[in-house]
Amino acid sequence: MITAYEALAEPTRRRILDLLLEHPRTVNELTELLGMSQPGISKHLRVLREVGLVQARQDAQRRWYELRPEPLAEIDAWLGGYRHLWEQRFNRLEQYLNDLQEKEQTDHDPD
Amino acid sequence: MTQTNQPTATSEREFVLSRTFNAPRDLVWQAWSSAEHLKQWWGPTGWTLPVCRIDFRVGGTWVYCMKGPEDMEAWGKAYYRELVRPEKIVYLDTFIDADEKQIEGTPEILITVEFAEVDGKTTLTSRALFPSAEDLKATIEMGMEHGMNETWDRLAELLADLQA
Repeated sequence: MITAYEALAEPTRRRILDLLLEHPRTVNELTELLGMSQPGISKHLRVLREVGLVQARQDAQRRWYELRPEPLAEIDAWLGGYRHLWEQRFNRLEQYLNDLQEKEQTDHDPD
Repeated sequence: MTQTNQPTATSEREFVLSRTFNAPRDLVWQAWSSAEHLKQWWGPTGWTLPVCRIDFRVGGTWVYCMKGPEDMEAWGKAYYRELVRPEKIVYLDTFIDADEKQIEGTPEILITVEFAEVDGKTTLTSRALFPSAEDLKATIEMGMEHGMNETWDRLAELLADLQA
């Protein structure tokens, strides 16, 4: 199973996403803008749909392809986890500094 | 993966975390500068730091291994860029494997930690500067070319565990 990251590694697919970022488009539009064959574009669109980066919407006349940014948010989730690691670190440091100082006080306490 | 933040977060290249500790600055500085101290607090809650090799000087490195539940290991290597005792530590944070080889597809993060003393307390401010969204994407892509997706997945799992 291909991942969103793998789907993004292919330059043509990144260009498709850039174009869809502007607004939803049809296969014909993408074919013209990218100067590629229609089957080629369709193949890339299929991959992008499989990983959930693109979705299709059918109206009376045409089939529109539009961007679905949710998988990109995984990167943000990763960064959020890194941030959380730091928060935990600060919690432990706080506890450790308290322990150290208590110990120091006990050591100096004649009782 | 778990909950996602706003997608805009990727373009914000820096996050800042600040906290005031009820301890003098010299003590807080010490806690950051020796293996003896770092072993006591650097790992996440419930994790130990079985490896901690520190060469605390500009140009020096610090290699550590965090060990968690079910013997899960996460290795890191820091490259010290700037040390201003007892005010500031700047280092590059990287993810490595047990052979100290940087894990392909993982980002290098520049960390700046500042120590400010006010009335016997110490305010610590940590800034993490991530590569730009573009660089980050390129890094990830490079990692994928080398089939290192699993590594990202493992890191994501580790980080998800930490949030649980």
